[in-house]
Amino acid sequence: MAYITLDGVSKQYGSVWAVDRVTMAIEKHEFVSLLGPSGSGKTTLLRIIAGLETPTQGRVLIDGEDVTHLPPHRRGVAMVFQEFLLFPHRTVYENLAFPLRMLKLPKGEIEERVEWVLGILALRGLEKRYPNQLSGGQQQRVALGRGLVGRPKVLLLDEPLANLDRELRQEMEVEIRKHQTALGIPFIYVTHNQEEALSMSDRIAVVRGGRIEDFAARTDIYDRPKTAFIAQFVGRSNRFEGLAAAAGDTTTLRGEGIVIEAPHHPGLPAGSRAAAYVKNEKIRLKPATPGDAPAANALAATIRHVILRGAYAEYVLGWAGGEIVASRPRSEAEFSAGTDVVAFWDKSDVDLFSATGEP
Amino acid sequence: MKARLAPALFLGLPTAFLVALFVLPLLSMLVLSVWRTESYHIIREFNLGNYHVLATEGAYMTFLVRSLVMASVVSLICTALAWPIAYAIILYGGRYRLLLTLGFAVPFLTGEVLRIIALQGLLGPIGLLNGVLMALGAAPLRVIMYTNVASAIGLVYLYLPIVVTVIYLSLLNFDQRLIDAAKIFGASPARAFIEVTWPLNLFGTLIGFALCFIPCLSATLAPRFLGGPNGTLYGMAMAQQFGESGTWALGAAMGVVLFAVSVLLVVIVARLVDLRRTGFTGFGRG
Amino acid sequence: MRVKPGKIALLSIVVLTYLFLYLPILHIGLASFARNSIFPYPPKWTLDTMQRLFASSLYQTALGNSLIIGFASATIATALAGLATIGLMRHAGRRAPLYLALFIAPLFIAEVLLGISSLIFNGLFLGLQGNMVSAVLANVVHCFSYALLIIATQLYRYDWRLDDAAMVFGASPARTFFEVTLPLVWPGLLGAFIVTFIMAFNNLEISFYLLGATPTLPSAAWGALRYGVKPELYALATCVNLVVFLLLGIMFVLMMTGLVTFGHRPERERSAV
Repeated sequence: MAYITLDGVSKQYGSVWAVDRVTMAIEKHEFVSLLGPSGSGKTTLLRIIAGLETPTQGRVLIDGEDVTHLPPHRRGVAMVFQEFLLFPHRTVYENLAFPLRMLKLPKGEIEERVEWVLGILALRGLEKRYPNQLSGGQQQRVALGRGLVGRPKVLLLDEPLANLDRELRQEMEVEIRKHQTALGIPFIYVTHNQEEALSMSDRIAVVRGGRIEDFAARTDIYDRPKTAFIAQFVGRSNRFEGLAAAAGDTTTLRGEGIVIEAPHHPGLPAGSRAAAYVKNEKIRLKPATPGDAPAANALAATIRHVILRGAYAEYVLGWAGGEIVASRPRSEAEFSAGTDVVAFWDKSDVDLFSATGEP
Repeated sequence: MKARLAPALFLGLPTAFLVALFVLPLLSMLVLSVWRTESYHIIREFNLGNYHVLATEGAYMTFLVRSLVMASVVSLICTALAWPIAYAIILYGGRYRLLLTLGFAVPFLTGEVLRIIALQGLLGPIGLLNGVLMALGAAPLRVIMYTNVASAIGLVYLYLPIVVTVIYLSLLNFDQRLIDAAKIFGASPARAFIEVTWPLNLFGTLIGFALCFIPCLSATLAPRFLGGPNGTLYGMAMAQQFGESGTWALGAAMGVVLFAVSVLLVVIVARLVDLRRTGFTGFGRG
Repeated sequence: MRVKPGKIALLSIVVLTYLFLYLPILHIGLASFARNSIFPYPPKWTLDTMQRLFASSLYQTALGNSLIIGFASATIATALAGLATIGLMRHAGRRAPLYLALFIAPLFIAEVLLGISSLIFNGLFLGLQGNMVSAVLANVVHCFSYALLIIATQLYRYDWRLDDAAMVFGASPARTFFEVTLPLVWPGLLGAFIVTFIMAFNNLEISFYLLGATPTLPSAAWGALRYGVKPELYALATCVNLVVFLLLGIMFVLMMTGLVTFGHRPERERSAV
């Protein structure tokens, strides 16, 4: 039996199903991200686990106990909020001691545990400050510390890094993951930022329209997207459209001015509309030579812009069907704007999906 | 030069106005309180006779104590009523919140005299309450009208709206999600109220309390038209010095006493309450 | 849906309070349009009381005086409070708490004390007889603090960088004020004007001591009330109530259309995220 189980959980607001029949099992020691665009229902799902919302249908089990109708304060969970929600009338020390006081721990143990959290989060010296006297990063640490100090059964994190700047965010990503590993409790992390989800999680649940689109290891989510939505939402991809045709172990997509070959896709009848996704970093470039014959998984293009991203360069390419983006490591030969190139990729790097029913 | 002009206009003008028409009159009241009045004439000689009278003549002490008790009781009742009302409007008001709160402003804005008239309509000898009783064949009630209870009811009627409005605004600007945070970290609903909701709205509650207490302490109309023979309050007695009795200097001394008590209350509250502990983060742009 | 006892208790307190506040108002409202004014259930309709009220020259003069006091006090108080609010937010710097303390101090002084102290100052130290100007100015003191709070809650969210932006693009300070600041703050000013107008119009305890024999509506009512309640007083109170309802109705519309907030926040989005 999994440590945390969601069993057919649904939540209805008026006539809208914000969460729609979600079933998932999360193991202890796991770091799970709920990744989805805003409005996808991921925060509602988190609030249902926390007990701040009661599901319209379905059950929530934590550590073998059905907590569906338990109020939040009896669930033994903790949460880190996007807006931090530190108690403004309490010092850092008192904010950190709050969960322990609610657990009615003896004073000595409260002091010990707060000291421990102050230590692991590098908050020493700030104990007597009030939240509004702290920087954003410090507030974030206190919020995280308040989540960890009570050793909860599960820590829920609701876009905790959304209000931090990029550098601080990357620093915190490492730190959050470090604490999760050290504590050995599950973290459920809500975010719309794929980089955060990919950098920290063991498994990622992609949420869309209140449903779980896929729940799988992060490498699977990234490398083998199960749906077109995931292919589009996770990673940066180029999309091509056309009509499918199957032959042997290959499914071929013919679009305007392009032929794409992909591994066999059983769900695409011949002649049906399909979309192919190729990730930016899978697209390779070589200089165009006179007499290049059109080939599958290749297209002739001109470099329009070059964007330097430090370790790699992003090339915006113009081709007959529009624009695509290729990102290449700086260690490779570089091209300058205006150069004619051939962009090409491997058959195994193409993700093919049905496009019927799409507008 | 230009840079100095703006503060002088924006801050200097209101400050000068308040000094001239608020501070100076209060000071002149203080000065008059140490003069004396003899047969409608004011003798400009320093003496503390007025304060001596106020301290020794039992009636004035009685009025003061009665006023303090009355103001305390009324303010407590108002605060105790205002909390659930404001909370209910926040929780269940939905899109009628605004209407419900403005509804409280109407009686507040119609002025004291008119509300006393309305209260006479409710409690008076020919008012609604007695009308109902007589229509039911019962004897008209005489115990409520012209007693301290009637005064208290009148004062609650007069000042409940402002207390509700102040506490409502405090609750409205209080981030309810902090309650969620408290619950997540193990606080029961009651505990979350004690730990978070109450301290973070204490400042607003005290302001509401003070805005009820201070006018109640100096109330002149309600005790006069609703209270009975044993209902004389300090403010009413003070007003009489400027009317029928013509003893202005004594009245000024009473005014100073009322002013001092009001200031004392504000100071005590300010001392008792650590603003930091109420989540107060300062004035300005925020 | 479970019925929560807490909810029922809270809501019944609200309902009872509204009854308490509005029963008297409704009662005298009926009484002022009824021949059987003592117990108008059911009312025998008549306009006699209203006609007597409107025919009374005392009340006509009083109404005129009250209107003058209301308009003048509200105008001055709103203008001063507008200045003071901007001064507090832009120019006070670290002295803001001091200025704020002075500006809201009148809130914590009972009206009757304001009236009496102004009477002493005018009568004894300036040698002034009762007059409208003194009454207006004393009312302004009291209204000023309320206006300040109302305008402040509205301006609190005003982004002063807009001013800087306008000036960067070459607008003069005066031009900035009329083209950028005023359009954004006028609802607050209007709200302050409405509220302070009603307050000064209905004020008794400040005006009374500074006006001598000049009647205002509240003081005329007060004078009549000393000889017991008459149906005309019900009618008078009802008329004023109706006007207040109307003015607050305007405020309500302003607030509903989102032009003004006065500290009201739009309903927080339910977490459908």
